[in-house]
Amino acid sequence: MRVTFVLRLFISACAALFVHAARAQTDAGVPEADAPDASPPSALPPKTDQTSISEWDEIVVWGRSPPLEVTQREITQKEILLIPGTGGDALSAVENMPGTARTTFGSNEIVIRGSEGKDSQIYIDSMPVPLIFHFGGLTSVVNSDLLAGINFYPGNYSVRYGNATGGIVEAVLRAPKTDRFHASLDADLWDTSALVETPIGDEWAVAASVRRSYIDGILTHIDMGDMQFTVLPRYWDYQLIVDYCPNNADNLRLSVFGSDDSMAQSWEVTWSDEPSFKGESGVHVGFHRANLMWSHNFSNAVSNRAILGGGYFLVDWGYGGMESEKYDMMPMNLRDELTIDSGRFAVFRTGIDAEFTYVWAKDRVPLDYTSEGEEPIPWGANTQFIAFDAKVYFARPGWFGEIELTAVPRFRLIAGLRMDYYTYTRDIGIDPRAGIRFQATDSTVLKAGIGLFHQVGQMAEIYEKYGNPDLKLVSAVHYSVGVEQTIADRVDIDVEGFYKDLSRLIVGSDAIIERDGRMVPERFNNDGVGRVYGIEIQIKHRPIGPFFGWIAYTLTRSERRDHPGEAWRLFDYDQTHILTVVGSFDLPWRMSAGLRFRLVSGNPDTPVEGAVFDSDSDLYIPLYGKPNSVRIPLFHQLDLRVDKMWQWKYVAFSVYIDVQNVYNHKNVEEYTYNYNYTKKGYVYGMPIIPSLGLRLEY
Amino acid sequence: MSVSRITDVRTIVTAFAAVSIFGCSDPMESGSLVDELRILAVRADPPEIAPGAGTALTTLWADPKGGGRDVTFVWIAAAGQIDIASGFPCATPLAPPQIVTNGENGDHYEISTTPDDLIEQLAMTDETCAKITILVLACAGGTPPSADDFAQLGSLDLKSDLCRGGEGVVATKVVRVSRNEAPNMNPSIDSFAIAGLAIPQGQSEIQIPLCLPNTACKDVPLDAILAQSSFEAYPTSYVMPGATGYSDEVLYISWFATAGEFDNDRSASDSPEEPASNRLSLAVDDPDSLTLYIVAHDNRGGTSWTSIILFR
Repeated sequence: MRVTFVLRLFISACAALFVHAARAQTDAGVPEADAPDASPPSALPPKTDQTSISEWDEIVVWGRSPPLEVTQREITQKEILLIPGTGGDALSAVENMPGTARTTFGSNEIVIRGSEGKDSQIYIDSMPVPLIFHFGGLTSVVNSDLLAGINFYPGNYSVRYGNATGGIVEAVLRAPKTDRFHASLDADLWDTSALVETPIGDEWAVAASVRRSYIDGILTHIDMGDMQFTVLPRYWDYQLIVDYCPNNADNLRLSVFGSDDSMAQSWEVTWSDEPSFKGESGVHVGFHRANLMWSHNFSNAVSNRAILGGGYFLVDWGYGGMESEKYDMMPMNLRDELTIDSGRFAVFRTGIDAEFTYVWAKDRVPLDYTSEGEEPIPWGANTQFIAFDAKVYFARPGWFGEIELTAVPRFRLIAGLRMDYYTYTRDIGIDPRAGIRFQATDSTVLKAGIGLFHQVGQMAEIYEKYGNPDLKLVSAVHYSVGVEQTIADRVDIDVEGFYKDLSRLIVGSDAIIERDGRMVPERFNNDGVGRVYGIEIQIKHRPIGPFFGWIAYTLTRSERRDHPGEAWRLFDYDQTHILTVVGSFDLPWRMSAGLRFRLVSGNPDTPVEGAVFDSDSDLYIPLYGKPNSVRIPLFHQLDLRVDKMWQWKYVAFSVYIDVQNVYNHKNVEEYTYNYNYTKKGYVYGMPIIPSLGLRLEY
Repeated sequence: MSVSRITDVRTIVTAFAAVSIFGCSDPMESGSLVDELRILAVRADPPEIAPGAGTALTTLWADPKGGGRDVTFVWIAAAGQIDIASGFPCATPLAPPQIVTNGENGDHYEISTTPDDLIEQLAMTDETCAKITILVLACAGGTPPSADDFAQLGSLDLKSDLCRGGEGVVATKVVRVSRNEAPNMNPSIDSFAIAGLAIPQGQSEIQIPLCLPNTACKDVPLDAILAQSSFEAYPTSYVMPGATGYSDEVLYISWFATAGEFDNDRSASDSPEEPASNRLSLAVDDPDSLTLYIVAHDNRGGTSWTSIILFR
């Protein structure tokens, strides 16, 4: 039985020890020192085959720590840097894990186990953020070099996380290095980033990073035809981490991070076929966030972590003066987690997770709202709009508590309860959840989980001047059962079946109802239900030695029924087969080469079976067939990556070429139609894109 | 409330990025080229009526490859603005269907309402106006449904071949019914010009200036000027309480031709001083004679048109 675990010590003040050292035991609940067959030190991989200078700062010990969740998937820094097709981006790498659907080209969504992107929560340093990718999913909004890792929970996750019925992606910022001054400069086809970090005295350390795209600079020199940008697409982001570690019991960290994406076009010129679109169209999305975290060990058994965070989020976009939304949001978050470790028998965790958000929304949006599963009605001059100027407060105080029982050898039972109160809808979510892991043999772990999950509707759905404030919380029950098996040295297989029962889904409604003594359109109700089931298989060679890679396969089906009595239909992003093969080899001369191949079922689509000419808007209105009853063609793509590094004492220089869609397959992303829907064409995804990257490290 | 629950920012960014930066799709033909049986516009005169009043409907249609064949029109009107995409499950006709063939004023239809027809609808929606939806089928070379079949709006399947054995197209038109003191009026095309040459009212054909037979004619300027009376302001009323105001009409021209290619399918007109402008190009192998249709729309259902035969 392998009982040790990866102790990933980014040489830092103290943070890594807080995270990992506290739970140095196996699934069987046996302390590390008691392990009967701990791998000998001689099994350590040679350090001469490293591909990045940053690995010199890690101490890697064989083995794995048992996850605190029933299903937790992690990606190491080496994997993040070398997976082809991701450009070394940590959050893009998540899409290669089982349980995640292939996102549409250019998408910022992460579709986890058949749930909409908005049903999953993205955290950076335990605080929710509205988006993780810049334009088109090119790269994430945080520098991957500053991440300690990515935790990905596709389902049945801890009561520590709330207000989500899909999955959780948590990016954990690492502590700044404290051994000496470090600096790095990264440049690729899309952007350049710089990172510096240094200790200040014995107790302080600082890291700062900034990145700026230069797509706008490139587009300036390219003939874009009729597409005329008034603000060329550009993005930038920054991170600042200040770490203070005065003693072995305390760690204070200030993290400040932000992101900004903007672009604008003159619509009057570019799409003048729709004359009601006048003026400029554009989008400006940004956020700035500061978190103050204090970790304190009261004793070896009792520790506490408190985070107070606040920030500003801006979403400002408009289509040619016709439709526009401007949201100024000021969220405040407070999270506190108290952990009491009673030794070999149990660990208790409890805490609060509170959110308070002030929103100032100025909207002019179509009266017809297109929900998931619905096909949009073409816009025209006659489209009805609604406008409002709203200043709204949302608050969600939440409490959670869980116990991790390890009293029985080989069993680990985690049971918890979470309660959230949603002030705007005056609704309470009560979420009991439980998971179990059983070390059946030295190489086999059986696992199962069940849990209840709730989330509130989006503002458009619950705001009384547009939606329905009486909407109930969306609910989901997650079931999962699986096995983790070590099948060879360094090779594991993880098989997990899951079922997700969705209820009170928010769907559109044409009903006229009485509210506060007045007849009003209902707009939305909780009639929708859904079911998602499938099996995820991952065969993984751990990133130890000269090779890492995995085969991830997901067989799944995600269905919805929008109203009682209606037939079940497929979810918009239902992908029956999702196969991802990733492999990377270390080569001589400090080189490495890797590939990624993906084979994925096409997304469902609703066929157009006719059209009627609407003479008032001069548009043809499509007549749709059965919802999501056909699929777009199969997706397949091969990506390759080759890295080469040179090193001179403290300075390393590396070059990589990352070629996406090597054989230039024209992957269909969606259908497009002619003016009267009698002819069908395709919208294609990314063509072959070779990207050259340079990296200089000190 | 997490910020991701406030607005779907990930989708917004996606939509802009995917469309604006990387969009790559098969080219599609323009709707301005009229090369088959088409209904190009439907005009109600007047477009907005008081309860109990009537209106006369006319279609602008073209059948450039029909060789003068008969085209049969089947008309029906129903109370309410009907969601075409979901069919007519609850629609009831205001009057029996009317089937007529061109040559017998077949593209013309009149309806009238009684003062009580739409009272219930007005009360239900809390809107300032009610609506009548008119459905018209143009059927060429085939057999249209009978009046009785067409009267069964609830079972009418618009996806089926309504013109059995022939070529059929269906169009809709909404007529507003209100007690407005200043009901909407149809826009009016005051004048238009081709390559700077003003076209007198009533002229039926003209040679395109500086455009010779069997040669390509690129970027022929087209300008249409709308009458001052076309530019109306009207009170807006949203279904939800709390947001009302006045809006100016959005006026635009839709351009159609039986040959050639326009720069834009539609173009806007912001004021009588600013014509709606476009450009027409003819390739060498385009026919030397074509019909140009200029259709003016406002965003409340007002419509008017003019047409002329061009040759080079």
